[in-house]
Amino acid sequence: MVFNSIEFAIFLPVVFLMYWFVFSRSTKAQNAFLLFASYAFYAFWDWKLTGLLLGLSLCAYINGRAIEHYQGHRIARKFGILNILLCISVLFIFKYYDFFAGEFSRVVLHGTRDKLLLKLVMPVGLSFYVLRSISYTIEISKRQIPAEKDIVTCLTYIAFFPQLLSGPIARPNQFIPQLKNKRTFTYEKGAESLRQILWGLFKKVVIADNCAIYVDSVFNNIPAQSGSTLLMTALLYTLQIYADFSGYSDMAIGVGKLFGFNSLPNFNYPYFSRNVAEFWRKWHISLTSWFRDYIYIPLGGNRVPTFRVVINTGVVFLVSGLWHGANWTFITWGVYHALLFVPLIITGTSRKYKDDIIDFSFRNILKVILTFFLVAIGWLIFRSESIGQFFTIISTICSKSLFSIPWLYERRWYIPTFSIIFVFIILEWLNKKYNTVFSPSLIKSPVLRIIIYWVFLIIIFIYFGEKQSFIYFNF
Amino acid sequence: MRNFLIRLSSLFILPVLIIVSIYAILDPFRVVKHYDDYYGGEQAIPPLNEGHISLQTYETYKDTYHYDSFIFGNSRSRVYEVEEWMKHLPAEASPFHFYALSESLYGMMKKLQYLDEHEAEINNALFIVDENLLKQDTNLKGHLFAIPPKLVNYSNFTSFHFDNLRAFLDFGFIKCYIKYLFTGKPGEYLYFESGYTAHYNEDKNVEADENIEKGTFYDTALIEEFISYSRDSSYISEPAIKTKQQEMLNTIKSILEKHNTDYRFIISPLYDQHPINPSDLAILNELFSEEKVFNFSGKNEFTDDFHNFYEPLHYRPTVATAIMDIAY
Repeated sequence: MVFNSIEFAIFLPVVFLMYWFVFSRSTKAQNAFLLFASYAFYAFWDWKLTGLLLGLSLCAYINGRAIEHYQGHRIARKFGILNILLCISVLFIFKYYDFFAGEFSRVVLHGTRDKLLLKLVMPVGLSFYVLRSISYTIEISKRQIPAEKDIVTCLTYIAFFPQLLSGPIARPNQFIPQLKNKRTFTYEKGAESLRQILWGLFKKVVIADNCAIYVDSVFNNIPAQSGSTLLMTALLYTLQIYADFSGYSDMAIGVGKLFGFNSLPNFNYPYFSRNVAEFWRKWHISLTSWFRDYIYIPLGGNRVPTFRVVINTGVVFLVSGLWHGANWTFITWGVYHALLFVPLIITGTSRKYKDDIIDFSFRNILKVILTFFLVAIGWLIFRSESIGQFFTIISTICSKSLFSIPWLYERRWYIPTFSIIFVFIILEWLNKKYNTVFSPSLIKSPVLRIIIYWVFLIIIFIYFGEKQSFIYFNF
Repeated sequence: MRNFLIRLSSLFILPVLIIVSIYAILDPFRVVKHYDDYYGGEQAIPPLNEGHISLQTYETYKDTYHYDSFIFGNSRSRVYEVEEWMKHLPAEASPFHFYALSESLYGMMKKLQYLDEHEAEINNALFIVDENLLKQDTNLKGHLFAIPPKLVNYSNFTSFHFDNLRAFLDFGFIKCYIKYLFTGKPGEYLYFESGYTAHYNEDKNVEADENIEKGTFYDTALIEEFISYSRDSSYISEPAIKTKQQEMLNTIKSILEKHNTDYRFIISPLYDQHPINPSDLAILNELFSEEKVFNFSGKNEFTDDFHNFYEPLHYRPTVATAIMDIAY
């Protein structure tokens, strides 16, 4: 069940009404119901997966209680390490074992790859709820939060269905207090939630899925494509992955708000960044901050000599690449971004653009465009099936065929698509300024807002056809 | 909360419910209500999901006619007329067209599984296939091609009906439909069906056949279409049958063996004259035996003459009759 499905459109109102009308008298009852709904949501993918989720959640709960019980003793640390190892082991078996076994077989044994492979299907959401489980025990170890005695609270934090499959990766110290406190529903919160869901749905269904039609067609036959087509594909994929993932995040955050939970934003208009460092402060914020707090800072962060900072940064990007998938392309993508970061560290400009104010100076516009293209090249590595394919694409882009007219798919695709993309970019800029394009501070007339909502709903409905799975479900 | 729900209901949910109700009452694609004859009545209808029609018609009449002989395939299978097929079947055979638009191998397999699970007799079967059908391990998207939910344990129930609702709300269709309701003129999205027989779920192209007899069917525009159509008898496409398709064919075979079915596989003669990939033909021959598989793809007497076709994608019943004479 994905957010942009009819099944979810039925599931959500039922859960919402029961949550606020049947279980609202007791926060504990609401949490228990949320836990039930979250497992039902997950079971819709495959009921067998709920066993894995439950197992990891119980490990986090038990280890958390043990850490707190033995706080101050060495053994407490061992329980923390145990939980981390358990989570990483599970992730390794499902996500990385086949890759490393295959490479080992190929390189060392010169043998058949298949014999060593487990060929397990990667459980959807595992990469995300593993991180939630790990941060839970780490924060207990650091005494940032107490261990939850109420097992329902702990399990609900890990399994919370709006964030279960693709984040945002909410931190325990931010989310668990919300689980323990009474939630209230206000009209403004509800309206804000629906606006965010609508915008997320628009980004996913209209922008991302539309770009995917072109991108997937091109990637199905790379050798036949011209440089200009491949360049356009790179740009469209850059847009697609942003619209897909930020659209999902918007829907996840919006749905969470409907149940009274606030989440930090997961994207902050990353393509309006002046350098790669700023981009990484604005892209998939919950993940990058997780790596920063649990890998980069423990390694010394930037309070160590420059060469160590470079190494720490490299480690974080390598882990980030690997987290996204078991393929050399993801690792290369991580290394690529690490290399882009190094000059910024050496020149001391990695923290230059901590403000969010971009004026329209020619210099800034150039910086934004350059950063965009650097990121787009990275996304090409990310999307390619192999390093070889990436180099084929790059060499074709850099050939004479770059100056040919690109393949435009069908007229009935490219005219509306490019028009909508153009409008979307303007709307994103307005979003940046007003927090949401549907904001009452931007569109004061309620009648006009209702008309605009309906226009967006109709556009979404028209495009609700070629459903593509969310890109980040693959991770 | 009350204010929120009232506004949400009145501004969004209520209009959606009204639209959905109008759609359900009008049921233009005949997927909401049951009909004894899906093409019956005097109304103009849009193209329907033939897979859905086939299944519903079978369920309506199976206890009356006790079907035991089935023609499977895509729209090209329609020209295999039951009265011609019956000449090759036992006298007591009761045939039925169990087809779908742009049928997939997956859809064919699911229909067979459905018959098997519902303890139908499958004494005779005719499979009309081509590379495209063999390649498709899943149905095409869209309201005309979606597999009927009952065949897949209702796993696509919501998307099946949502696709039909979307088709109903297509601007061009709505405009045409409203115009038809007021003027009685069908327009480009609707037509009056005349060649359908519910008993066999058979749909004949009556108007085209009449025009062919009159000599008015093959006009200049149509002939030009045939002449300019790309044909290449040396073109060999990629193999259609891969692992998934092989598994589906194995399932089909096991059901045919279980029912001791007398079957034939007909590889359709297509106007493009592309022969079936030799590896696909080899797989079919090995699985179903060379005596039961008849390959009419590529260049032959049928594909040489455009008069054997209504248009480049569909051949005529005369071809089907000749093919059945050869196969039996």
